[in-house]
Amino acid sequence: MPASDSFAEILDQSLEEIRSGTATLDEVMTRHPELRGELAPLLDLATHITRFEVVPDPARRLAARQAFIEKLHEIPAEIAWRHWLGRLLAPARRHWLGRLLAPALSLRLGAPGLASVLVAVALVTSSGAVYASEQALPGEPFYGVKLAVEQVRLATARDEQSRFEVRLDIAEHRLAEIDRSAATNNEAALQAAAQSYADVMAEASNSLPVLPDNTAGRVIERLQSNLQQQQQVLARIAENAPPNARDSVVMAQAVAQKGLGRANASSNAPTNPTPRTSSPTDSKGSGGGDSGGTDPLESSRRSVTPSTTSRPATGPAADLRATPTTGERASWDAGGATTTTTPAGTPPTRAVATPSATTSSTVTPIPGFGEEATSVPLTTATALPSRTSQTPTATREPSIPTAAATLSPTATVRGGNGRDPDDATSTPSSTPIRRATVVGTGDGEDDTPTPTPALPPTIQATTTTATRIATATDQPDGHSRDASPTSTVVSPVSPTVTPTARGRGRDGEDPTRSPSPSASATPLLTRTITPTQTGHR
Amino acid sequence: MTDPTTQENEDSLVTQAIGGDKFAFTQLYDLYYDRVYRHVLYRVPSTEDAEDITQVVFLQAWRAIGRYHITGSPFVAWLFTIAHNLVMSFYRRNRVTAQLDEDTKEESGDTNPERRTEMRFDQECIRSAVVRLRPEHQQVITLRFLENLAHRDIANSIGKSEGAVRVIQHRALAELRRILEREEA
Repeated sequence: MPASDSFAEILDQSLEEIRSGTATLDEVMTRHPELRGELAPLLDLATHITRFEVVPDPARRLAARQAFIEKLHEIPAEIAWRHWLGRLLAPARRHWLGRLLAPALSLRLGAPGLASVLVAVALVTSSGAVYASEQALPGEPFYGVKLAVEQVRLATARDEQSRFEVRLDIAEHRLAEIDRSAATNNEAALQAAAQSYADVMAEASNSLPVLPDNTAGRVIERLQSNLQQQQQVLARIAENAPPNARDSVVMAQAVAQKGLGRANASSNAPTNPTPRTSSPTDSKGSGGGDSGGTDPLESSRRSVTPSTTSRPATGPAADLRATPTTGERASWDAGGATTTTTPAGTPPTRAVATPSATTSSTVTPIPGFGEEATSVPLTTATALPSRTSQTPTATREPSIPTAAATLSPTATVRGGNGRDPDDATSTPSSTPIRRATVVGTGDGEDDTPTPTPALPPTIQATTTTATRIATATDQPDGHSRDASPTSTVVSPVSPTVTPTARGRGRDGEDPTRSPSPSASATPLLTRTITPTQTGHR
Repeated sequence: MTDPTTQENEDSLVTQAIGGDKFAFTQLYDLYYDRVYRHVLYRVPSTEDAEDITQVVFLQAWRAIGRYHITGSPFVAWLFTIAHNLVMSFYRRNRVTAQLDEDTKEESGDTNPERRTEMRFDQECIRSAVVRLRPEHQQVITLRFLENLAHRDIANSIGKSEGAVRVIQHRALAELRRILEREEA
């Protein structure tokens, strides 16, 4: 269609001129009088399509950011192997051995080059480099070797318990690095080590619910013991840490505190008589990220004691499934969708409010954890907005603990208001708190949550400014639980997602490919609306 | 045109994010949340839907960041592509008619109330017509006129040539005009 193409060109050129101000509509028309009838209305219309100037509600934006940061720590990114290898070898490049191997380390390798790298890595790791790396701090030569050794240990751990213990070992390494970095005033290393500590400790704590019952007690004891000691070290270092690194250390401290709270809860929780592996919801496909195999319901059953359960402010005491207090409940995991039910009469948007707001404190989610169990007192308290008004009326019966809806990894939850009759995964009695959003997946490949990668990257944790850490469970007398007129608003439903928009920049993939209607249900947000929350930046 | 310094900073953040740096990705989130939110809100009925989808856009981007390659096009174009797919999926599942959310807060530079009302009315009409376009036409119209992306970036985003983008733009505008005329009638 040359004529059409030509007209499209003229239209586009005219639009460019008008939008850039180099020509007016009349001037363009005088140049193309023969096209006036068709061109003028289109140009006129195009000039009326203006930027949509809308600002997100600040409180909701903040809440969304909080939830996002939290999820970020639970979802492993798909890291390209090039970046992995590059990061791994970056410190070595600064070393004489690295420079010697520079051609092979360029990463623009063919098979021989790659083989050279592998041989070099093998040589390095099998020799004194491993020993040398043990004392390496972030950014130093051989630090990558140290991380690689840790990741190999993690990848080759034979079961959950072993992996858990390896994570504890890694956390100890990070703590030692934090200590040494602080002693040598190495701010960058301190920050990196603290962030890494927060990540690995969050992973360890998140994996508590999947530990076999017969060994959980012993490893939890070790976790408790470690965390108590580590908290002291972190608290000491946080006091004198340089400003840029302090946030990271405080966050690491918060994560340790949260982990301790969770360990305490786990050690007190009754043992689940049903092996996890027999649970229909116990599927890697039901979750995302590191906690991919962690059933949030399971987790809340095992690790939450009634005394720490946050309940709907005005509703009857709900079962733990309805109001789990652990972060895994958070709605991104497929299983989380089943927790979005609300007892009849309870405002559909669940507001979890800690009683008697007498001091300034804001519940602050810790990356890698849920937002309810750890409170990080800040300096101000603020009445928090709620999305209750936007919530459809909840009409369902109180949820039944055993009636866990199983969300198949191939199902998309969008069952808001029960408007989605074809959503086979919705429990009939389950009415999401808020309108549900169904978002399908881009393709199937991302529907399957990614378990902890065999060689996960060293990840820098985001940090949140906080000044002190306390958990509700730490103050059984309730004196300090004055915390917060803080409402945790759960947006249970969530768009699912997965996938995958193939954007430009992807290898040979069609960016326009629409998501398949089948998608894993991934609840969206647990919103803790905390206007006073200080972000990590 | 994008400020080179900004572009350089973005590339640096994207590079770090590709390497798994959550902090860098959070900075990208902060940089682009509003734009992605606006982009999504233009095409879905409510602010809640827009918030949810926007959140998912970023989480999806994080999940898939390892497959992203820096090509010179803005990172946000990739986010828009993810957003487009999610919006399409949203409509496929819900089949709802988009209406401008009452809660939507418009901030126009024009302070004349009458003109603002008129503009808003126009924008509402256009918006409701845009969301009735075919997905590909919607995408080109929104990326071109709302997001001001260059043809090259749009072409990368939708996987077509720049020439094809121009043709789609023409067809989309013509279709938009037909829809608006039908509504007026």
